[in-house]
Amino acid sequence: MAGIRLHHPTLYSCTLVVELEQEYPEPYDCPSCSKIHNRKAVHLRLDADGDVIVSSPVYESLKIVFFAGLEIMNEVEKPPVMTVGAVERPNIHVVEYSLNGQNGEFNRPGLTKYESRDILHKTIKEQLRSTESDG
Amino acid sequence: MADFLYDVYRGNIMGKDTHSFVDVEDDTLGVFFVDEADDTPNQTTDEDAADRAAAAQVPSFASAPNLTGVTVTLASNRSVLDATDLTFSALSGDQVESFDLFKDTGTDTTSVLILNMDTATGLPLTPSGGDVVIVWNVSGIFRI
Repeated sequence: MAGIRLHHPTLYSCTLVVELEQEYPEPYDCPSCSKIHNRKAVHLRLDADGDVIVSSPVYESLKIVFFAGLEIMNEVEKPPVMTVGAVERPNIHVVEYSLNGQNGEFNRPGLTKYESRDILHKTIKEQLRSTESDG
Repeated sequence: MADFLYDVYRGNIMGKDTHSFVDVEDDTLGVFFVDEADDTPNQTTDEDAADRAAAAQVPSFASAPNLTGVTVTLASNRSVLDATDLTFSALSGDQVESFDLFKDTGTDTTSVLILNMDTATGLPLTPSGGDVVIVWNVSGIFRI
């Protein structure tokens, strides 16, 4: 499995910063959002459609935060090339989700927290299968 | 947060023999990304690839791609290292915060760390499972 496309129903053209449980050994001074992260914070760059493609390990790590309100769309055989270094700096609008999810941001819009939780018990394949059957 | 040359490499340039001499033009150089939640690069104490926790290496030391088209040029009293842009094929793993450049001897305990870069545009990087390309600056990777 190369990549998994996730979609946010309301956010797009921004970097969704999702805090995870794991702490950095030393606080991380993030050049992307100009902030110190004490916990691992996954930076998800949502495109104009609200989509982002992630690797399987990232997908697994997002389970702890109920996928931060993201929907699982489909498997992507060959994700687009990503670049690092001497490239144009993207215009980054950062939206942060803290670990406690106190504002209910981990629940997908339209789903109860229980439905969001139940998604975590499905494997990627099961999840993708149910997404396909819905569509 | 800053890019840096490892102290061990600075010493190596001056002939300090903790590790074999690094000939950046003729030796094989490798790069892996670093998941800093598993290991924070330390300019002073990290010396070779074995000092980077295996969990922090993305991809692993054994799968790290090597630089090609490496050149060292002298200009304006500076020595500049440059290379062809580097591609990581189908990179998978956790989000990474920086990358290490090292001499790749094939054995991590003898592969001297050269530099760590964490301010490049695109970092932190959340892998998508697709190819990732490091585009080196037109003025080179680093200069002394």
